[in-house]
Formats: sequence, structure tokens, C-alpha cells
Amino acid sequence: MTPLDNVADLRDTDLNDVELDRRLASTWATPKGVWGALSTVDHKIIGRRYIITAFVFLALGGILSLAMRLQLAQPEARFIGPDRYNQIFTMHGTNMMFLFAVPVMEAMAVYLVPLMVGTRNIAFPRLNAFSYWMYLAGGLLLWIAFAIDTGPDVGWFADVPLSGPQYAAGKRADIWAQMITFTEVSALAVAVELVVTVFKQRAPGMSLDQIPLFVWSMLVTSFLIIMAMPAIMIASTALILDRLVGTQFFNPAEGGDVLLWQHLFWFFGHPEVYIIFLPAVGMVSTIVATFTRRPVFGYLGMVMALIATGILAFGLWVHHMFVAGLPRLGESFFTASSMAIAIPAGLQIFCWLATIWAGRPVFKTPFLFVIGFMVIFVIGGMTGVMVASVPFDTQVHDTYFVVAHFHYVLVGGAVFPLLGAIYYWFPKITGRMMNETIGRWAFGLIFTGFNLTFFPMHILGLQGMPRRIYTYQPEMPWSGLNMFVSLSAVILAAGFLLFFIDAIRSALSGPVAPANPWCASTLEWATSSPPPAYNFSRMPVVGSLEPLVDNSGALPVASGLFVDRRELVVTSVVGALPEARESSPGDSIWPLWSALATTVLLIWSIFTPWAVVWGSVPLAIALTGWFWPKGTKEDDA
Amino acid sequence: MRYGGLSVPPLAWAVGTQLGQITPYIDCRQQMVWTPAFCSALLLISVAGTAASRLAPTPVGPTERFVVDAAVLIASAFVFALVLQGAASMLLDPCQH
Repeated sequence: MTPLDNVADLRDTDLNDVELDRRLASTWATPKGVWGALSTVDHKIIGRRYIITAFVFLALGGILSLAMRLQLAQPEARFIGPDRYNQIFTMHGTNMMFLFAVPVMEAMAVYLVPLMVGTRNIAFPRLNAFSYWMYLAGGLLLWIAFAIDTGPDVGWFADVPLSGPQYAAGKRADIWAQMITFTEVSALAVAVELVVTVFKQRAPGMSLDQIPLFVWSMLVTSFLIIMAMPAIMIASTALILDRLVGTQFFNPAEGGDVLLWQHLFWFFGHPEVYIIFLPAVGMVSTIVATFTRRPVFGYLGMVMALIATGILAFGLWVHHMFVAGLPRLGESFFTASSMAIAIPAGLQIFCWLATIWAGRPVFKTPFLFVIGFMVIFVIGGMTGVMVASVPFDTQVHDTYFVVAHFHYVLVGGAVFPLLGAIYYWFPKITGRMMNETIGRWAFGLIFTGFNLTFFPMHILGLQGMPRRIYTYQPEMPWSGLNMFVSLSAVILAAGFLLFFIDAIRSALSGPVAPANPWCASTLEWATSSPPPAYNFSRMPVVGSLEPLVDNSGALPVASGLFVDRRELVVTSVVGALPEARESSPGDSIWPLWSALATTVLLIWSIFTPWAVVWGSVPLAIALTGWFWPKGTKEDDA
Repeated sequence: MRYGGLSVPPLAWAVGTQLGQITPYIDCRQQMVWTPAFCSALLLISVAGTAASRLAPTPVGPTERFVVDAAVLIASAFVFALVLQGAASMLLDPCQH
């Protein structure tokens, strides 16, 4: 025992570096064992869990796509029947959108944003733990249902009346609708945490014009989630009510409206594309800046593009409904907005190109994925401008042209930057480097395989091949290209397999990473790899957009925080001026109990409306336990 | 005034996008030109909001200047969208489905 062990309210100013690290570790570390793992609120542990879970869902969704390609490789194949095929394409879309794309982007933010803004934990860390358990429960619900032949078979957007009580017997559509509730509750929780973290927990001095672009992108994305996701939750709840208790929201015969579903779904569904894409913009900007050894050209323009894209995203939804019979004049308003959003998207591309042009590019694996992203996303953007035109969209609607377009946008626009981001931040997250040679091979296979798989789908679509068909006749002119696409999908799958092997192998036995292996400029690289439980020994103070470049010596720090309880600095929204010291909640098992109680309520309510009444009892008990005053500073926070 | 660019054009565009789903039915039924009229009005309001941002007294600090500059740039994207919507309202028949 040291003399300082008996001192109450010990602050970081009283301690040397070694003693400070020891005490902070004791205050912030997650206890070992199962109980510690279940009750942790460390954003890094929860972020890692999110990322791993999302990639497991990516692998499962990829296996489904290979099954579809095997079925479609030849005309009149008998590998998968129509009923199972309906489930598979629904599962593939639902899984990739709701269980992979959105959660993985939020997961990266859960891990990185607190580090990038220089704080010790995310805001509302118990809510963060709750959100992960909800996400996991939603994913398990969907996949267990599929395993027992009750997987949804109504497409990832579950259009009524196909998904309504008249045409979708059984519980398959209910599983889809309730899975939405799980994942959207989870996404909304994380979005709220990120907004508060970015607005109120930035390092002193990190004013709005000094926020890293990835953090900006996640801030805008979080607002999109908060504004878009309630629409789909209302829609899916209304669908469950139509199916379970006989409301008639979507039944025209009883005064309902079929198109109401499409409006509600796509009011969420189109911003969803940008919920996936905008984080990728932040990732690309970060990687480009690091591997060109200069700040991103046009920081102001990039921020403007992020915000403008985020707002415009809410005025595009009708371009998914161009064949629904709306007035042409009304549709043209959405064509106009769809064209207008090309302006901020184009601005971003030109800013990155200017950065590369003026910088000294280093072609490491993360940067290769960024180059791949630019090529693929520009192609996807151009076909996007094509389908924004009503006459063209009317011709190619529900054909493979659209399948090709949205895979170019989503895989090119989100998955390529994400893979680059994994290679880039892997050393920070695991403390180990990924293999550069294998990374280049993985990039080559994925880039080649992707283009060979999806580019021919444009031609298949122009030849009239509809989406969601489980087979086709030999007389159709599609078999040769379909065989080619299926063989190319094997190359793509091989690339992903190599990526997974590299990630697992490197996490177990890769070379140990230094704190800042890429000589990057943002705050997450100012701490060790992987970071300690408390992120930073002393709170960094920021005076520029590139704090690690402009302070190549020691980073200025703020002091005065208590070390015997979890505490962080709260700063002002615009200038990030220090305002207060705030306690950060400690570990708790109650978020898990609350998530379990919510899970019981939601799944039970698929079968009887009384579940909402009786299921709320355990949920109320769990929430009472969660919020019951426990007399510690952390619990009062 | 200073942050008019950040709020007025996006709001005008949101209002216009919503009205674009309603007024074509009225224009078609009553042979009126409400759609081009509100498009023009919203465009003028947006330009005024952007100009107000630009012409407001120069902000003191770099962060405030950054916010104002971003607001003007964001506003210009929405003015462009409103111009396109206005052009569409003059070119298309409101009765066409």
C-alpha cells in the first residue's frame, strides 16, 4: 500500500505517470470472468463485439448469396426450390442491411469516436451495452427462424399486401417485422450516444472546425438514424397490428392504404443508404489523409457535403416508387433531388482526388481499398443518375440492372471503405498488424471478383432478367452470363475468405503494432495499441485538425480529474471549452437483464397482443433495477 | 440571420418536396398553376436566406466563420435542388401519371 492509497478524492495532478496508469486501470478496467464480460460498459469491448458479430452476419449473408448464385448458374436448376429461394433472398437482403451494414458502421463508431474525440468512454455507456444485446437478440431471432424454415419470405422491404395477413400466412412476415424493432432500437440507442459524445465529450479545444471527418460523418449519420428509423418502426409495428389484431392500416378495402407502406418504408429506406455510405465517407477521408501524408483537401467542402447529403437523403424516397402510379410532376421533384445529391457526392470525390494529387500517396492495403471504392462507387453513382430518370427507371425497375446498381453503391460505397478501415484500424483495435501481402491479394480478389460478378448484371437487367426469380427457362438469353456471374462470385468469395483468414490469424499471432504504425494525425493514435480501459492517461487538449502532426512532441493535456472514480470532461458544443467534470456510469448487469426482458416481450408479442401487457412486468422490474439509485457517483451520472 | 443559410433553404426544399406530392392533384383538377407558383416562392425565400447568411456581419472567431461558410455552401446545394424542381414544375403536365 502506498501513502496515497488512503487519500480520498485523489486527482491526476497528484500522481506520476506510472501510479496514474495503475489507478486509472483499477478504476476503469472490466473485471475478468463471465460476469465482468456480461456487465461491461467499456465502449471498446462492446465495439469489438459489435464488429465481430456484424462480420459473422456478413459471412452468413455471403453464404446465402453463394447459394443463390449456385441456383441461378444454370436454367431450371433444382438446387433450391421457390419457397426456400424466397426465404434466402429475403434473408440475404435483410441480414446485410439490418444486421451487417448499419450495425457495423455504428460499431466502428462505438469503438473509434470516443478515442478520436479524446474522451474516456462513450456517453450513456449502459445504453450502449443494452443496444448490443438487443442487436444480438434480433440477429438470433432472424437466423433461428430461418433455420427452422420460418425465415421471412417477403423481400427485404416486405411490401404490402404481399406481407399482409391476406397473402403471408404463418409467422414469417412477423419475424421480419419484429426483427426490425430489435435492430432499430439498437441503432437508435447508439445514434443518441454518438450525438451526445460528439457534442459534449470532445477534448478541450476540439472546436467544430477541428473535428476529424470520420467523427463528422458519424454525427450526421446519427441524426439520419434518429430521424429515419422511427418511420420503419412505425411501419413494421402497424404491419404486426394488421396481422395480429386486425387493424387495417394497409388494407384499402377497409380504408387503409397500400402505398402508405411504401412511403413509410422508403422514407426510412433511402436515408438508410446514406446511413451506410456517410460513415464510409469518413473512413475514406481518414485513410486518404493518412496515406497521402497531408490533410484532406477542402475540409469545409467535405463537411458541407456530409450535411447536405444527410438532409437531401430525406427527399429521395419516391424514386423507389416511380412505378407506383404517382403523378409524374410529383415524381420529378424526387428526380430533381436525386440529381442534386450528385453535387455533394461529386464534391467529395474531387476533394479526395485533389488530396491524392497534391499528396505523397503510399499504396498500402487500406489505401488500395479506397482506390477500389472510388472506381466502383463512381460507376454506381452514374447508374444511380440513370435510374433517377423516371423513363429509364420504368424500364429497368425490378430487373438485375437495379441489383447491379445497388450492389455497386452499397458494396463499393460501404464495404470497400469498411475493409480498408479494418486494415487501417486493426492495429489500434487488436494491437497487432494485418499481413500486407495477404491484404493485397484479398483486395485484388475482391475487386476483380466484385466487378466480374456485378457488372454483367447490368446487361442481364437490360436483357430483361427480373430480380427475385428462383429459376429461368433455357430459351431466355441469360444462361451464359448467369454462369459467368456465378463463377465470378467464387473469386469474390475467395477474396473475403482470405480477408477473414488474415484477420483471425493476425489477431492471434500478427506482429505487435506500435501506438501509431501509420504515422496518422488523429487522437486515437495518441494512445497505446490496443488502448487501455481508460483510453488516455491524461485528457488531451486539441489545437488543430491534426493534433499529432502539429504537436510532434508531447500532446498538451488537461488535468484535475479524479482517478478513484470514472470521470470525464464535458465541453461546450461549438468551441469545446471545458464546462464540467462528469461521472461516467460503471459496469452493470441491468442492461443485459433489460434486453432479455425486452426480447421476451417483443418475441411473445408476435403471438399475442397480451404479451405487451404481461411482458412489460419483467421489463419494468429490469428497468427499475437499472435506474435504482445505488449511491455511487457513477450511478448518479 | 447568420445561420439563415443552414436552416432556410433546407426547410424550403423540405416544404417544396412535400407540396410536390399534393399540389399536382389540385393543379390537375382545377387547371391551376400552384406548383410552379410555390416553387418560385420557395426558391426566392431560399436565395434570400442564403444571401442573409452571406451578408450578415462578419463572425469574430474561426469556428463561427466555419459554421457560416458551411451554411452558405449547404444552402447553395438546396437552391440548386429547388431550381431543378421549379424547372420540372414548368415542364411537366400535372395530370400525367
